[in-house]
Amino acid sequence: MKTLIIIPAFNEEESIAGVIRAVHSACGFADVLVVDDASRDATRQVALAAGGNVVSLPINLGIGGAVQTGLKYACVHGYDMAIQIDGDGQHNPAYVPALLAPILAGKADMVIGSRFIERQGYQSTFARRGGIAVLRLLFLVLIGRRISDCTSGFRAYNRRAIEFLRERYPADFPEPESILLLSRHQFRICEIPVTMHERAGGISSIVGWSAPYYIAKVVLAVIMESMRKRA
Amino acid sequence: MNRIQLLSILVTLALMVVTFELVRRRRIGEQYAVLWFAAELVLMFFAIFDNVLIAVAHIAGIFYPPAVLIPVLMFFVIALSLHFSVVVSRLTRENKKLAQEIGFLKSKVETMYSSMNPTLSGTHEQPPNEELEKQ
Repeated sequence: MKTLIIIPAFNEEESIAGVIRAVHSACGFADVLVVDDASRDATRQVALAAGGNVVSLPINLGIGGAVQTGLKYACVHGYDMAIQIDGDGQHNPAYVPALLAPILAGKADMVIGSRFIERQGYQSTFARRGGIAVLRLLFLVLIGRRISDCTSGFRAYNRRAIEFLRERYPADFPEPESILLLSRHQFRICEIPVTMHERAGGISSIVGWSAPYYIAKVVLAVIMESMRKRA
Repeated sequence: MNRIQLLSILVTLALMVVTFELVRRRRIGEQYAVLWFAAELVLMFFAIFDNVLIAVAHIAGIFYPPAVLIPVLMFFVIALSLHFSVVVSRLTRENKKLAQEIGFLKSKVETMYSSMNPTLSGTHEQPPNEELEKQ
């Protein structure tokens, strides 16, 4: 089974090398693709030096466009599974085999690494936990099931999910929306417990005024998606 | 013909000439000019036939006839803005696709370039077009 590890990175020169090395040692069976989202620092050079494969985008597309780049790459190069890991060191690659297990067992099309199942490790800030709780409720209403950590960017997809998402992956704040997309098209989603760290470097993509915008955009996108016809 | 009527006809005419010139010089594509011309034609119509304006005001219960132009104008401004939002969204989508394609092509070219020039291979090496890009 060909496996691709997609690492979206924007100005992550401090942490990217550590992430790539950790991925190499924890899952040597997988190929690594760093999607450098038009970083202004040395992310690209550092990632190449650390032995990653790098696709550099000429303009900043945001997390959605960067991850979609990885999914398209996985599609074109015939990967059977893709895992998304953040470039900032929040996610521990040691969980990758656990993330892949339900896919390999044929029990899931998408697996999310959730920090809220065992409630260990970094639990995010109070405000963010509040936002996640709102989304959890919204998901419960819209798809009738509990997704404990719908904002988690630590996730795995099988080939069918990759092909489905390659043209549909949402542009910004894509994590909750992509779950809804897959769920509404009868893909099987499961969550496994992981522990996350606080980011090792760089800055979050959700800061200041973008937080209320984030919630509004996600809620709107989720409601819109639930009103669209299933293609 | 009173002065305000003459003035509004002249202003609308000027606006139409500007739009026409922009389309003729290909600064505006025809598909985006349609809404503009529609708005200008409606304005011109009301400027010439001010008795229609007064009649419309009477029907709508608007006391001051020129105030009819405000909702008409609002309608076109909103229609144009919505149209632009649609266009911008489409351009964003296409832009994203192009950026991704360029990213793939660039990494492919670099791989080919380094396999053709083994002496230059290394992580910091860049193909010659990078230098052009920076100028």
